[in-house]
Amino acid sequence: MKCQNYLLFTCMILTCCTSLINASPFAYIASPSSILVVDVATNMVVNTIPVPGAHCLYSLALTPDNRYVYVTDSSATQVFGIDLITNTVSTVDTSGVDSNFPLYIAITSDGSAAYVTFDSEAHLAKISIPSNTVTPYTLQAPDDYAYVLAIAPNDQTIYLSGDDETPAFQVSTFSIITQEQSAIDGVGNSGYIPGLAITSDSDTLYACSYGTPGGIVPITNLLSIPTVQPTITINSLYALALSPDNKTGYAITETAPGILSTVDLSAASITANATIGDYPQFVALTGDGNYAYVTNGTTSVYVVNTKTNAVSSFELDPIGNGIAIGTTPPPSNVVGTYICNVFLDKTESILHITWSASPSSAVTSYNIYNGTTLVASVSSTGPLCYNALLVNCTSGSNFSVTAVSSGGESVPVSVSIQS
Amino acid sequence: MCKKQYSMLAVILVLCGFARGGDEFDSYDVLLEFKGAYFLPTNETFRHIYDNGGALYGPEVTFEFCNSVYGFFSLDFFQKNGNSLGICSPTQITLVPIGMGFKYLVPFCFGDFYVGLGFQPTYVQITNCSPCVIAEESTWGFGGIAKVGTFFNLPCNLFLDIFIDYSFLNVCFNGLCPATGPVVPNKAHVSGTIFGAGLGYRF
Repeated sequence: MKCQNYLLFTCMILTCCTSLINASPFAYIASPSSILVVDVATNMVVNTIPVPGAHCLYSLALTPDNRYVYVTDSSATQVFGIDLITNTVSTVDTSGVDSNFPLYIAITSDGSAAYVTFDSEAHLAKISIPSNTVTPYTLQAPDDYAYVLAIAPNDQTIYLSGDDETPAFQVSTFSIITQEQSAIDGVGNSGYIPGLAITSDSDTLYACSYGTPGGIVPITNLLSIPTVQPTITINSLYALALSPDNKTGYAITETAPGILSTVDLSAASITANATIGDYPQFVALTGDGNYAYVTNGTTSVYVVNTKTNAVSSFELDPIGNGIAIGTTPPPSNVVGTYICNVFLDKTESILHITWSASPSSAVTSYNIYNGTTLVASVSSTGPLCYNALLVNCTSGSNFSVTAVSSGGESVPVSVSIQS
Repeated sequence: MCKKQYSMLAVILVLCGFARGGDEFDSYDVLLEFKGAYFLPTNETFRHIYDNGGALYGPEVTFEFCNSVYGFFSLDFFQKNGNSLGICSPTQITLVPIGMGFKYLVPFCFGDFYVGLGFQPTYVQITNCSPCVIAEESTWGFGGIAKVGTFFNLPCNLFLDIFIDYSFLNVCFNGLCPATGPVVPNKAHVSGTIFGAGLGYRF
């Protein structure tokens, strides 16, 4: 007990400046001229972030660290970046892009850039985060009509689909590394692919082929030779979200009423259907995969319990478009210091790891990993530090720390070694 | 010299001293005292971990062996808390030195000046508050002790012993936690100078 008290005192000094900002995870919903922040624990709007100059905010993406939201405004022809810590709204200057109508947006898994597709012309733009520097790209024919996009989690490739005016049954690929383009042909039964979802291993893409018949088109072996698999039939399929284990898809149909179908992707079969509001447009899953949130451009948001298929809803003011659900925000300032702990009779090699608290009051603990091995769990109410025993003073570079809440575990933050 | 030989020598030494007394005990000089002292370790790491030294105390008996040569036998106790160098993990050391050897006494007008030399088996226990090492370890170390001091005669056969000793001892603990390669054993240097005084009765 004496030892614990001592460590408590020592580490309190190191962590006394941490602060708790808000509860999380949240759902962030694009409303016409604001971002609505919904606490997914209560489904209450807990904050409204006005976006000055916005008229019709549409597609929205969240950085993995839950720090920034980027949102498109197709009518106002602008893209906005919002710092969720300070609620500061920045207008991204997209004047260098030869197109006025930003549509869909996605953010790389490292959070360093957002990519935006633009309607009416063959354009794609990269927005560096947080500098908001814009780099435009012009897509080449025949894959010249970007619509919805998905970024591979390995941050090497962007997959783009054409809209309903595109004749080709294609998914385009755009290399983030080389900016080279190519295409995957024979995708689905129509040229309209309004939704794309990619697995966390970056190796399988699911394309939503619109129409009747339409359905989920799996494209496997993306990292080697992409192979288009048989379609899982779902008519009027509009968008798809994947479960955290990538085994289940949650597909919404653009019908009245709308349907959220639970799809066993390996068995290529629909296991459940839930009736939701008319013409759903966006679907997002909570980090633990237990709830699917669906917006349909109205004031209603539908919440489907993915375990029981029970449907509930709550109201927004005004309407909701694009939606993103944050994961548990990770800790920050994760640093490690090598220490030789000398007793009279022994010497230990230790990596002393400290971090600042996640900006979420919902965080209950922090997990410390050595590679993929969980080595310790530290309570969020205790001192935010951990002493990892090392084989020698060069083996500590593989440690990482995550934050854990009821909404799941945050992305890991590698320990930065201080000399 | 192995542990067994040391033990045998100690027993022989003590028994010899008292045997010499035997029936003629009254004619031999025996001094019994209780000492208090400050133990100042010479090892820098020891001093840093345990914030220099601390109190060492215990009884000592000195008995005439032959002419000016006396034997001595002492049992002391030292305990100190400290913190490791690094992340300040609490630690505690306990020393129980058992000294035995010879003193050479030189009388002068107020008492006896003496020098002495002996060996000193010492029980060492270290408790470290760290999940990475065994919390408590103990071992016996075999060192030596050198003495210099003066017995000042007081009324009623009492005497005052003012002394400076130097004990030398290094011990090794080999027990480590299972599967903890990163813990490196150190040789524990527990030598040091002992400044102190004792009050006793001269039989």
